[in-house]
Amino acid sequence: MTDTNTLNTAWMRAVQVRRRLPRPPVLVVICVAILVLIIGSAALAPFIAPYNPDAQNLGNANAAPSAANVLGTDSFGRDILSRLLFAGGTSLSAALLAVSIAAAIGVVSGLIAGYVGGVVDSLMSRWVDVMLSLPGLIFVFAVIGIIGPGLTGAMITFGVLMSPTFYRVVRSSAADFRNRTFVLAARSIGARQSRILRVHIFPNTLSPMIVQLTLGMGMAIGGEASLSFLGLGAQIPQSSWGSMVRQAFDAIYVNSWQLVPPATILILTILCLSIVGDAITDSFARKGGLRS
Amino acid sequence: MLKFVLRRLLISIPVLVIIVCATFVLNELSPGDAATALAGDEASPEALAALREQLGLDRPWYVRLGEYLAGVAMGDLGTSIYSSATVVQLIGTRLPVTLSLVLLVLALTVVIGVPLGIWTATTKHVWVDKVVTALAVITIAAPGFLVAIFLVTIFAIQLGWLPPSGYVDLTRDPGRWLWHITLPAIALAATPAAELARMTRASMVDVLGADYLRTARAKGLSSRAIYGKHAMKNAALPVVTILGLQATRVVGGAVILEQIFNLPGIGSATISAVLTRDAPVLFGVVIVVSVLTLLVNLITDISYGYFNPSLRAR
Repeated sequence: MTDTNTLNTAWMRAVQVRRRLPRPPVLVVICVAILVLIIGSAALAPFIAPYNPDAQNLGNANAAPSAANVLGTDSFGRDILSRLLFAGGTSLSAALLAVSIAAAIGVVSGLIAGYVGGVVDSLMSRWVDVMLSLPGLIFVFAVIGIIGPGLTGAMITFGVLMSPTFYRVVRSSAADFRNRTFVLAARSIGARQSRILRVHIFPNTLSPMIVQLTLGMGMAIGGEASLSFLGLGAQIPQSSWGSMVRQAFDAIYVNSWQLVPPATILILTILCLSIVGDAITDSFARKGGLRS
Repeated sequence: MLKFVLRRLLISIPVLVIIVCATFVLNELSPGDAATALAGDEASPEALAALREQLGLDRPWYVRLGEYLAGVAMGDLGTSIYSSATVVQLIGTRLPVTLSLVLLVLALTVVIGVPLGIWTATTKHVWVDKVVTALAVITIAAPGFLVAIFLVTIFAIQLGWLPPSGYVDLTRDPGRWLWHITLPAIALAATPAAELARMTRASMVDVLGADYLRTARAKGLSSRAIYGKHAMKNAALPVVTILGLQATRVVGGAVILEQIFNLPGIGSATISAVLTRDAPVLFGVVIVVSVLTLLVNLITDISYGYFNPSLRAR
């Protein structure tokens, strides 16, 4: 009798715990798996790529997918799968660069604006409003016009232009936590401002930041692809997913198949990032930790 | 209402001044100036100095900034380094192409996005909602140029229904203009229309659950009055916000699409200016596009006033 009771309560508790922990939907799990696969294969490209990505074989140009070339070959007879794997490294690290810069600028300025408040806050926020209301791409062009085409410069500029979204997220949570009891307590025992920002406020801005990082990564991958497609990002011999799309587009009358692999992987990566980002937002919203 | 519009207009001016100053600073930072471009690589330092003096480039930066600002205010954006045309002339010939594309895209966005959003919000068939949502999510995730390439491959290259590139002026032959512009317009409208559909759906679902709508139904109003008057006008506000934000992104997207479809618009001028480092043209484009964007934002703000009268009073 007692046994069944303990069993019952244990069961009930397990059910409760499971209810409290939001079970990630199947779709999200699949997306995470795809992202891990894409990132992992890009990182391991030198080891797992079946061919040298730059090895030309004009006798075997524009080949359809086969056992030898799983995704076929491009106009120069290069193995598309190998190129895709290596280009992934370029695209993903370029996107990471842009997101890191956006996050660094956004976090520092957002923390200051949110914590200090007042005139500083309203001036910075007004500035961010202006930045967000302008078509960022045009400004990336303007900067590239000065520094010349190239992936690094393009992605740094892209990162700077993406920083306002991070600023907004960090600012709103910093402003939210500024007058919480634990911050006031830290202030009352004489903690330095920099310490309060670093130890007490910053960690609390992290959860909304994760969402922004995920979504920002998707934006940056799309941005890299657009710029490289236009010939302003990755320069030969460097190749990225965007420049692969470009090469495929230039050969579209000859071999439209070679467009499919880079386009699919681009859409898949961005799609998975946005689904995972949305899922994280949802789980925070359920916990009540995230205010929009 | 007039006061509201005027105030918004006045706020735009400092923003514009900041942008013009920013382009001036970027121009100062760029290696080489009009003198080095005109004199060529072989010019002696003396000849270069003489040319600088002749062009007034030897004067202090604040004098030139003042002159530049005054010039921009009067509609003078300088002269292209590589052709004798002024930047205003150059942009003037290309702006109509981009503008006609952008306007058509915005119209398409509303015509596709809003009904789709309302349909998915009010339909009893769950699968309609699911299919449209899934399509919208994929379209939003795909970078705009991929959507364009996809459409070109299918409708221009495989099926041959529409031309893959080229342009005919609207004033010369409206029919052929439409024939050429349809594919770029649909490609550019796909993403914003998908976003608008999702926004409209969310906004409609929100409003449809509101108490005043239940009251309207209880009063026995016709479904046309309920949806058309009570629901739509209140659901419109977030939709208008999204549309305003999208207008700026459509302009950015147009720059890329013009490359794919070979349209002689502002975008292809921008890219060639970037690649040849034609600074006056590039910064002229930045200023013109910024002005356009500010105008769009102004229109968005004014339409807020229409949809939400309480904003007008403030």
